[in-house]
Amino acid sequence: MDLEDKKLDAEVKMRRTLLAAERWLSKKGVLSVGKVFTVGIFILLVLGPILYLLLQIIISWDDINSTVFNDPILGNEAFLMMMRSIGLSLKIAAIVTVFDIIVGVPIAWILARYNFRGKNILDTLVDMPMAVPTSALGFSIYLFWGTNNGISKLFNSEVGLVSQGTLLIILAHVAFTFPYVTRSIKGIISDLDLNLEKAGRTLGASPFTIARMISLPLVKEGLLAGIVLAFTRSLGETGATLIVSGVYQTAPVVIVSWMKGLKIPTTAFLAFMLIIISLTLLTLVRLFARKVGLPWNKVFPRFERKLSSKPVTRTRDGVSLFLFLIFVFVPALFVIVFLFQWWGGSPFSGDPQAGMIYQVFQAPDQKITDITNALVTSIEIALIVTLINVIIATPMAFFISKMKNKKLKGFLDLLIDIPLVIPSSALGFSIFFLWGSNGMHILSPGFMMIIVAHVSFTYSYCVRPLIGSFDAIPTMYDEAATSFGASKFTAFRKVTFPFLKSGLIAAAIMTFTRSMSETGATIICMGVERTIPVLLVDFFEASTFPAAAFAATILIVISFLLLLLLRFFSRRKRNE
Amino acid sequence: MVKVELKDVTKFYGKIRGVENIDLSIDDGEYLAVLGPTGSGKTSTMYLLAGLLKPSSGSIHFDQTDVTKTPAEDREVGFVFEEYNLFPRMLVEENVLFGPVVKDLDIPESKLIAKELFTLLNIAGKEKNLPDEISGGQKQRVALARAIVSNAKLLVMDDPLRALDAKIREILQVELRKLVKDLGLTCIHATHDTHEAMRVADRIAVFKDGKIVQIGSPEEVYNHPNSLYVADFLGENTTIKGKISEKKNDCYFKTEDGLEFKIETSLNDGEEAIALVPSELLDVFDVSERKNINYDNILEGKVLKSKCIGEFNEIEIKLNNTIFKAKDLIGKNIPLKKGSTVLIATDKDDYRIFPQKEEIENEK
Amino acid sequence: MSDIRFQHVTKIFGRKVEAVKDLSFIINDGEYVSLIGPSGCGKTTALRLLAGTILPTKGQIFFDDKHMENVSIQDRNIGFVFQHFAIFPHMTVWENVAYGPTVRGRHKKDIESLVENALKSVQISSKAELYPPTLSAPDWQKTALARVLASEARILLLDEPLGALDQKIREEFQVFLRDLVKREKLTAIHVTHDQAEALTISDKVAVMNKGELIQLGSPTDLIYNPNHIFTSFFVGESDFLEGVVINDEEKESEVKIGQSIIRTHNTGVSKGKRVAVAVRREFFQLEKITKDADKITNNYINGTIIQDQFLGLLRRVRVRLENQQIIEAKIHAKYPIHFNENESVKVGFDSSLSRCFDYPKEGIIAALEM
Repeated sequence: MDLEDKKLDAEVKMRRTLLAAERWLSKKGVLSVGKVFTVGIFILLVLGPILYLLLQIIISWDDINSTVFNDPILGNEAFLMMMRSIGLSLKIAAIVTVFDIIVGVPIAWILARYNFRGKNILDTLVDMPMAVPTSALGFSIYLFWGTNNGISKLFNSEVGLVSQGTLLIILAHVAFTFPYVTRSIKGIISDLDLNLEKAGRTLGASPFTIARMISLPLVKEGLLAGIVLAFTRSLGETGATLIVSGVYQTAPVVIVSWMKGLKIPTTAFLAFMLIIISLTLLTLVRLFARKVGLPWNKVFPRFERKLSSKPVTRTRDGVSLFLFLIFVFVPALFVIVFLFQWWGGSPFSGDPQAGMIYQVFQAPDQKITDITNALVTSIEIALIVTLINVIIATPMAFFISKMKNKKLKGFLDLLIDIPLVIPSSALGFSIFFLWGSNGMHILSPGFMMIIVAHVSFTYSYCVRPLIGSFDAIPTMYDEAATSFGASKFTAFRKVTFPFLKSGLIAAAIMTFTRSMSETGATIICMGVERTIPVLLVDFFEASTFPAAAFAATILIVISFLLLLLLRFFSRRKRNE
Repeated sequence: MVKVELKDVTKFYGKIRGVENIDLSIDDGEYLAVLGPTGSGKTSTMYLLAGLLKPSSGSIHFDQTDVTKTPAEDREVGFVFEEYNLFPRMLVEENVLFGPVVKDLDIPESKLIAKELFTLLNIAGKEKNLPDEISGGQKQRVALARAIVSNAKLLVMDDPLRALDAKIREILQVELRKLVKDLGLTCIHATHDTHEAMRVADRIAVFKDGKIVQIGSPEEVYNHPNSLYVADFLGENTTIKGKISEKKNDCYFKTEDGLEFKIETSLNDGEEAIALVPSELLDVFDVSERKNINYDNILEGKVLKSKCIGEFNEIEIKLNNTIFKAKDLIGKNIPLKKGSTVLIATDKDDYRIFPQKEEIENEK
Repeated sequence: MSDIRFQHVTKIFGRKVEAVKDLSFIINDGEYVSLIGPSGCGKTTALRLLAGTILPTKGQIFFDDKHMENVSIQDRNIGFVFQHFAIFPHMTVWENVAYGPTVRGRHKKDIESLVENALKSVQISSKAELYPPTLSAPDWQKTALARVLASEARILLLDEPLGALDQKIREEFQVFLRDLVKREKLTAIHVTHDQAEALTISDKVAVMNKGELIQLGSPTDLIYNPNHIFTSFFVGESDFLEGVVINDEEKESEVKIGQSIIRTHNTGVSKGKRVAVAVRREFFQLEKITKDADKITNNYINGTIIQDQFLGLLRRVRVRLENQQIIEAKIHAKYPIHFNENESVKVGFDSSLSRCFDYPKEGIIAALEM
């Protein structure tokens, strides 16, 4: 009895200490310090490298001027090359975005509005290109379109249908950027109030007119955000582009190749230009998305009614699904088919030394060891990055979600998105530039620098869903908690946090997935260690395709599992 | 401006019944209220009329034309929703002109009509506001104007006042009926609120589980409910169980706790029955008044509760083990004291008598 | 124990949205007070000011003469009950109820007895170990009430607590809630949009409009003795007859309406003023004009019937008065006389039941329409 009482006392004492500590932490002063600290870390890790790069461009303008514009031997050849590569990148990104809209919007509509068997599977498949490393995706697409193993078999052709170059880059980019468009509007479309459409119909509007005049304006901002993401992702993509570009050099590829040649000032300037372009786009869309009008208020009832007719809508749905299958789904997973074709030997000559088994497990260079090592490195990095980001992103998300000053909130929200839109190779370069030998000289390329780079570029992927999770928790719980005498921290621990669990897990998986699949920044920040997407590029460059296919398949399987996990937790979050 | 007919209309959602075998005819210029609880098929009926749903079987006719297969956008039905459904990014004016724009009607003329309606509905001056900037009552007025301007021949309203505060609801009921009658529209108005139905409509159709159980003028339906369900749904009643007993030429209702009332009924002697007495028909008097009043039944009881709740005094009176609820319009006299003894006076035709087996059916 | 006093409290949101204007009132210990008013009248803001989730821009709030400015929510001894319950779904009923004393660092034994008592008081002990998602709305609200009791709050703040319940359950809950508050000797402030609820449940009702307190009084006061035109309009239904004061005596004034002169209770409006005479629709008396002498009242205006509408619980008779104004009388369902369209009638009322207010500058409809 006595013992029990003592135990109870100890429990009460402990709880009181904890409550007191939380009360102290909830003091205004302490909270302010916490906020400053949170924002400080964000600026240092995420924005710091970019700001440093911008600063250095200004400070060492003379240096840049002499290498970029007035090189004693090449003159402004470096600048011209930059302009060419940026021009090519912009052109590709523009075409890719148009395709994304054509494929992405109808699929979003189908997923949001129709109920059919296998909808869940389609939904997962649409998401997949976002989770699979772009280098694996690019490789698979190259195999499908660009070699005599894929589509060309249908035409009995000896060579690939599409050779490396602009068209292949576009095909690859469409595959992994269109989900950004689909994703950004699918949720909004399924949340649209169906009653508004019913109201429109009773007023005499055909479904097409309603979609155009009522639904589209409500989806507009999400769509624009998705378009910006798709455009900037295409503009900045490295992993897949390295594989499918051939001699055509897009800007991110140029960054990587100049980095390899250690042309620091020119690389810095190109990275700077890419960052500026992406930021300008992001800012413009953020500022003006709401204001962009859809001026077309004139209605053509008969014509629009025809567009709404069953045959037309069925054709539209069919075409977009067909495009998805032929341009995304089949090419993206073709690598698995290829792997089985080349399992024990070449399907053409039968030579076992050209097969996967030999290349990976039997050849003297022991690729399996490389693959295992790279896999372990990738997972280690991803785990550490996820841990760091969950710790630094949760308070930030909470802070932004609860912020009352709308302007400041909007501004922070914009800053959060920066790592999302700037090319990862440019980001990787600016991290190398700040932390490496040219800047603070704290890190040299290698494991640690990759972690810093990944923390920086996965930050948005972690914060964004968390802000959503915090926003989704009704404020009444918080008010109820505090009205019963809980300090802010206690309320957070006992009430807010349990609501957050699934959201937090989802954010963590997202971060992990992104870190696992990143190529561009990793190539720049790595030392001798390879992550698995980079190893894949190496295999590709060494023309050991079956080995590359083996690595790619492993990556696809891992990402697929992660994706299923992510969907499980996001769904649980929604149900809560 | 149109006569509406539903002929044997049935709608199933998979296995769930929306409405079944609805036969309904609404005259040109008639105001019909569709009354029933949630899930009784009101909304299904409204959607079927507007063409937002297709019937599983049966047909719908406007005047002599079969419109069963006509899609919503071609039916010329003005629909008013419970939640207004104003288009959020359009100005009030653009909302109202949406119908004319998508139908390619004469816009200047539509603008004139809209302007008149705005004046009639007390929302003039709100044209350049966004829907978010006006109150709920004003939103529903805009929605009403929008439905009418789109050249509607038939106005269909799905519980249009449900989301509004009691005060504004009361005001809009009067406005609605006046507008519909002034414009000579045919109108069908679904509601869950008996008072609202009686306030707006020429006729009331009472729905239960997807079927029409009674249809008639407010007075008919209220005073002569054809089932326990209708009586229960429309009125605020005191419900008592007992037996019919006939003495000489008179009919009595006897309860287990020994109360006896003179009633009128077609039920037979000895049959188990339920008697409902609407609370407004229970007259309550001070004991001293006994000699001045003339009723079929006068009984003495004790006041359990007496409270002024706005337009009525609500009084609960206990007789033996039965608690009677009376509602009396407020007047000059302040409500009765708790605990005092009073007289409850009723006439024989104040009671609505149903066989007890109906209660069991109702609970299914 | 806990008097609540508002002194000239103003709350401004953003730059100039005055949610609450110069609010002054006193709520005595143990009183059940409801706040009613149209949406946006400031009733919820007043409740939040009491809770301390927002602070006044100007003015002071006192609990028992203690200034509340620097007292944070958790130290105010209040219990908040929400429309949507705010029951923590990841805790059992028991844990929900224990929440208050737990986060206040109470001893485990105290917590147990507090929770048990609270659960017993709201009759939900049998469901203590269940999780909220398995329960029904009334049980959630009971849990919310128990949670407040266990946190030893003395002041109960209820924000539309019955708003999410069905009508029938709502009426039962009104009785339950009032009994609970009286039994536990709490002070309750209850915000609702349902005036019948407010009149049923409360000792006093505060009518608010546009951020101002219009009238604070007992339910019968509001009905029989409105002291502001808004109270007449908002609580129940009244018609407002336009006229000019031609004579004011100590108790009664004479008002000229059209060609008729009627008498009304004198509310201090002076001679020559344009006024609105407010009469509750239940207080109108109708009489057919016959050759017989006046039966009901000699205080009347002539009019013609527009419609005699049967509404079950009562009848409403619309009448066009001789000054073209339309009024509506509510009469007893059993009233033996029926009126026909275009019939001439006398519309009378007892002068002591009418109230006379200054005519609003912007006109009655503009002043009172919401």
